[in-house]
Amino acid sequence: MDVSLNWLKEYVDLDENVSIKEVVDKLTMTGTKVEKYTKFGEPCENVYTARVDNVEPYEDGLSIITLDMKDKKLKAVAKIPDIEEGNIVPVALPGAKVIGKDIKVSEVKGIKSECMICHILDLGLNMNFPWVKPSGLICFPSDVNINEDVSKVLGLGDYIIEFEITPNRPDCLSVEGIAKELAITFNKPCKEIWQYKPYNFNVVDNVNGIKVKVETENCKRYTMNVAEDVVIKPAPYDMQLKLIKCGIRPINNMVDLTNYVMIEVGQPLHAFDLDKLDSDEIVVRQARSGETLKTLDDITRNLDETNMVITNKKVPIAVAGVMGGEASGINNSTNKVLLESANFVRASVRNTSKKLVLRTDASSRYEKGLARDLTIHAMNRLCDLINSTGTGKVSNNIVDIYEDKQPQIKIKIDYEKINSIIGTNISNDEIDSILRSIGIEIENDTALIPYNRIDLEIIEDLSEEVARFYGYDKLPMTLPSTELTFGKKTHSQKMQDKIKSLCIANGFNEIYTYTFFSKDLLDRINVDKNSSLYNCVKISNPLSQEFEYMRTTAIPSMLEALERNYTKKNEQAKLFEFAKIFLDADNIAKGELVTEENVITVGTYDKNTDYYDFKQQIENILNEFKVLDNDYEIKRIEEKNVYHPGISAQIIINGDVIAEFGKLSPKVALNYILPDNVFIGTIYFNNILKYENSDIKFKELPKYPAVERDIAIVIDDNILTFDIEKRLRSVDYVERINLFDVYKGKQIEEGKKSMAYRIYLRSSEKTLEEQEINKAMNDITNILSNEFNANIRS
Amino acid sequence: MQDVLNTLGNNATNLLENVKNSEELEEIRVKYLGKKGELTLVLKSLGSVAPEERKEIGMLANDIRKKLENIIESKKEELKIKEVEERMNSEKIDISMSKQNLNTYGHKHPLSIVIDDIKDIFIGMGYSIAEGPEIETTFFNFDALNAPFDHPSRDLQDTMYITDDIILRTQTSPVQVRTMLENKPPIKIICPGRVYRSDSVDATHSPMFHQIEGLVVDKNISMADLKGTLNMFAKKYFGDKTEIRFRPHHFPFTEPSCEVDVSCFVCGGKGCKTCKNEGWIEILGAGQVHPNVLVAGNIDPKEYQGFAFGFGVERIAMTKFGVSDLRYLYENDVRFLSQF
Repeated sequence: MDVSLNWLKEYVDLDENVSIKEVVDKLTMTGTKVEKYTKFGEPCENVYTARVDNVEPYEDGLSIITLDMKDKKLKAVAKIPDIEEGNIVPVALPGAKVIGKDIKVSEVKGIKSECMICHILDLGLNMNFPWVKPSGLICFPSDVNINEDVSKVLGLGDYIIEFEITPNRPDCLSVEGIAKELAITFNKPCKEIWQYKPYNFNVVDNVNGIKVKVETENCKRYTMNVAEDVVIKPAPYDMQLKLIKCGIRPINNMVDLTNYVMIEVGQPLHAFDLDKLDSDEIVVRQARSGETLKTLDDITRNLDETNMVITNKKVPIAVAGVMGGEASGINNSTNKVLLESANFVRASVRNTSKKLVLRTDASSRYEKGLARDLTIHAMNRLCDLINSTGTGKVSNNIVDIYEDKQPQIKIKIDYEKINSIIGTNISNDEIDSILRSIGIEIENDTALIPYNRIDLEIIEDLSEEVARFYGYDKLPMTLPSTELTFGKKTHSQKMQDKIKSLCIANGFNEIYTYTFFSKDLLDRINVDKNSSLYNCVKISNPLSQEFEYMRTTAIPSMLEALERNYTKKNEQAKLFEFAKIFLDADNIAKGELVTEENVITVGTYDKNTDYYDFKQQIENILNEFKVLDNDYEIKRIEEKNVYHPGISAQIIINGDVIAEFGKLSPKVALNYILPDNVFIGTIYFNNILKYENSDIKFKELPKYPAVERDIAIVIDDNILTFDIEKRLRSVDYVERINLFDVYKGKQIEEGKKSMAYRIYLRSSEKTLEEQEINKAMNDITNILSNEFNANIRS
Repeated sequence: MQDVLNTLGNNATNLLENVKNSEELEEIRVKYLGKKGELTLVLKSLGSVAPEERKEIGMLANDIRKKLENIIESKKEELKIKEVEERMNSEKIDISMSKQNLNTYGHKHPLSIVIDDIKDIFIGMGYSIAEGPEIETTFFNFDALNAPFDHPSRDLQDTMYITDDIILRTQTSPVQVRTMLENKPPIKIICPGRVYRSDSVDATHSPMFHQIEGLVVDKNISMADLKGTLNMFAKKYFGDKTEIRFRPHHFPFTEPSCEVDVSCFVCGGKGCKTCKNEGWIEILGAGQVHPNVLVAGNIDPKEYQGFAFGFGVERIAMTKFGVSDLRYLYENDVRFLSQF
């Protein structure tokens, strides 16, 4: 909401030396936040209004212009093609100053100018300003007197303050509301500036034969009056100028008055051309499906039951609280006007405004919830101005449909609670005085809330008012005095931190990616069509297709990050992410939340990394959680997936996948801009926690020597050494097995491989004897030949 | 015979005095004391010496042998040290060189750095870390936070909906009520997490970002406690000279509410680019927990009070590290990541 400082000053006498900076800072600190402020124009000196008496063309498009300045006539030579007789224009006299510069009046083409006509830019204003002709000449409305100081006439050097009003304070979407805050902030009285005679309205059942019927719960009050003998003309100059400063373009007196009162008191008002009403009754109701209305912005709106409308009993003539209809709009021939000051339910207006994608000054006020008693206050002001400005004649009979009366809010003032909430020791008297300053009456420790402050409902609300005007900056600083609480992380949180540190220690850089994706990416990474990964949570109003589903795997995010690094020519990238994937999307249909699972996604491209390096790094992480190779199995992944089928693996315990990793499938790599040797993987954090072995027990160091024996075999290429080693470790005295050579090729049958192991045998109880060693080696040989079908070479 | 022995001893001693390295030493040892060494041969030939001289010569030869052995032993030690020293002096590399493509450490993401540092501060003040779902119900995200269906606050943020009742949480505040339902006061938690809003990606917006929520509930917890807590936090996190400023504001789930600024940690409040010449940087929203929120959390507002606050993590990371564009945080370029 934009308001001019001069307008606010009409309500509050600020001390002369108070700067704009002080005004905005202090208002911000008491809760009326100033977004920004701008200077309105640039004050000038010795520039006056003058009426153009005569325009006499001269050479080269120049004109000799005679200006009437009441007590004198002056000549100016200028090239202003659109200047006309009768225009009231700003004229700089010799010695004038505009935008800080001295004006020299000189001779043009042998003719002496006695003055200079100012361009709009000379006043520090811009070409968008109303009343400006294409040449940049500003022509004041005809009710502006001549020979007046232009700086004063326009209020140049005034400030336009843009307030950010929080949604709980619709009362501050008005000059009155902000002025009140300003007055309390500076501890000054807020003047009642209306010099109007309050109407003693008689509530009658019709005005000029027009009745009102409210048929919807969404209209809480409908106050109506009629203005007769209306003469449509420009509104008084001062009013127009104030509207302009608040960012509203003047239209005509009737429309301007409704806008003016809205800005002044915060109640939206509407004026209908009564002669075009074609009815003797206003009916407020919900629209019927299929009804349409052409609104003032010349757009035909399709309406339905959720939209509240004002009708002439037959058809809609306005979308309630949002915009009037074109057919009943005010124009130059309007003679009788129906005046509406109504209260509509905020949700109804907001929904309609959203649905029609039509937000107006009126709807933005209604959707915050206005006080019902405000309608009569606004009607009073409107009628006063219609009469006093000669716009028309209004009677003091009104129709006022008001069933559901706004209750008087009363709050028992618990002084102790107020101090306890804000942590102060403010005296009861001071609290009372702050509450009174915002218009609260106090009777027997009970606060009677003024009608326009419906945001004040409970003691906590009062405590905020007290804190605001006592000063947030004066609140003491203490620390909570609770029982001792232990600050700690849960086990899972500690493990999260640990796993991140391990990834970093293994050379991975942490990344953050978006957790939504497009389902197409699952095709792109070669996920089987029947995979449950396609069962994703769908966002009903996504920003774009790219962000339509919640991801069920973080691999696409990882590939995208790797790709981005690769296309930016980063030589290598080694990345990890600890974040969620979203599973069990079917829960949504049951109205339940889904499973959010934490996964660690790793990925790298680097010409020096091979599968075994990558595997080692993943094992390093598992080892830290004491998830050891004795406990798990390593398998190839069966279903169709993102990995190279021959160079990828799953680590499984009891059917739970702990991790899967490997080389990116070259087929998938084709869908990305990526080099050939990309390795990626997923570690399932929940399963790590499930199988983590935190029960550490020291095992005595060996006292007896180990015996080493080598064995070489030829075996089917499909057999994994992991399985062989794991099996052999179960043989008595086998402590450790080390694969030290693998060979495929010449001299080895196709489909077979030669492998050489060093086996370490040891007993914890004695030095092994030859026969025990032989027995163990014998067992090993038997297992290898019988269970693995191996050929023993040595 | 005695002369021969003495000469032999003197010769050997002379040789040993001038020995240059271990090999030479070994040669000398073999020459005199080896199986066929000169002294050994003398000792072996003792049998042919007259019995009356045998004892005397035998003793002399033994003395000479012992003396030579001692010299050899000490020379050995001397030479070992000398040789190590020589080797050390000859070994010299360019100690500034690095091995290419060695597995270097990775880096923590700046958002994690901010979150972890803030967690540490609050854990030090006795807070626990709470968590909650990112796909959340409108009940916890709005209704329980005193923002019923027609509340204007629902307009302040554009929500991504899954269904009418399930959404991507727009704030970490729903964790407040979840925590209250599961715990009895005193409650002291912070909750870092991802949140979502319908904002298109640009230099200052992202449809996904991070917040840290804080909540304290107990008897008599006041706004002064909130101010003291945030003041302590600001000094610990931004530096001892940091001041805080409370400005009144409105949130549906707190009453009274405030926005909190910290004095600019770049210029110290004088005004600079970081603080847009204001001297203050807005970092969070906070306030006293609204009684309706306590009730939703099954806590009696007559008995208990509390405060809550919420930070935007990206904003803090960007100001703290001087990151000019929010998109850097989600592009994951290693040239960016490795700077932290």
